[in-house]
Amino acid sequence: MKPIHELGDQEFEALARRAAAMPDAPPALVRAAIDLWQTAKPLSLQAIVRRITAALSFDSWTVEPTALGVRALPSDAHHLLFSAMGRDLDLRITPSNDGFALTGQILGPDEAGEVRLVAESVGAVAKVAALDALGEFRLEGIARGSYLLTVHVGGDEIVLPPIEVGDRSG
Amino acid sequence: MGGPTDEDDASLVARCLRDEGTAWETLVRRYQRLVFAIVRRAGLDEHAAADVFQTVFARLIEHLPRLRQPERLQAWIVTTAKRESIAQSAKGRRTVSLTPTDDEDGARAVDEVADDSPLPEEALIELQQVNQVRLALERLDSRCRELLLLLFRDEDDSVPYDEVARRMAMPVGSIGPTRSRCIEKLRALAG
Repeated sequence: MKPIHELGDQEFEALARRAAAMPDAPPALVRAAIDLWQTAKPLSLQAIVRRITAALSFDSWTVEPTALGVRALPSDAHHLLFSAMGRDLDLRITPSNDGFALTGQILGPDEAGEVRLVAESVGAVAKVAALDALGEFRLEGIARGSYLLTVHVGGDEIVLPPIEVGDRSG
Repeated sequence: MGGPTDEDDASLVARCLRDEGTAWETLVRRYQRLVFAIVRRAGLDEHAAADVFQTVFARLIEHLPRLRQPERLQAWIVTTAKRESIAQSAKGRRTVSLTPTDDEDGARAVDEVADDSPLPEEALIELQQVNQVRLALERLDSRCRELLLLLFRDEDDSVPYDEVARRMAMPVGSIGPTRSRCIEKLRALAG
């Protein structure tokens, strides 16, 4: 069988047609396979990571932004900056149609990773998002409450202080 | 989460080993069609096919820490899917003579199979090529992907060119040249 780069135009098009028609596995099977991560992950996969506690360096609701040269955000947005051993985390909490959205960016070494949001009252992971190529992430549909956000990047686990999601008035 | 990505298998495996569940989801979504196609090709019934599908990914998750060549992950998955499909197919039938040998990543390769094996090596290579192009199709820009998916439908489902033009908001005369450009882009992504 010829490698793809040696296929003629008609042969490649025939292959592309088959590719377009390639069916997905049943969604329930795919979901169950994804969920194996929660139920069947061996203990050895829980790698020894460096746990770092991030420090809050800026909170838009406790200081006038213009005093630090930071561009003012709409008053209902909450802007937080954290630092963690060579990395900075820029986090913004904004109201949205279905609760609140948390958007952010990890500033530092260019690495793949993910963020996990845990509701303090429940103790279970509420949302997970992968960092994109720019180190940015977005979590949507967040209800009011207190949350713990952890960032897993480059073998480190960065733990933020508890974050309050809600309106400025409380 | 878990959408198309240019991240290679070795990088995703490394992230899994750092306990990143999003990397696992990406791997599952990357290979779910290929595993399902292999299982279907083996002629298993719905329940047996579902069992083998889950077994392949369960074996993978167990094996991740021991994977010595993560860049050959696809070959490991295909070999495992074939082995498990044949084993499932052999249950309740006459015993199939297998002479397993271990490759260096511990995946047992079936060297001898029954003459009526539904999974000859050539079929597996072809399925991998189809999957490779399908993954490239998912990484294609949305306009090209939408156009090719419209044009590549089965004869029974085919969409007339004027309808394609309407849906794509392009002149009928542009469809041909755009189609050619999109196929070239797809070919470049598929490698």
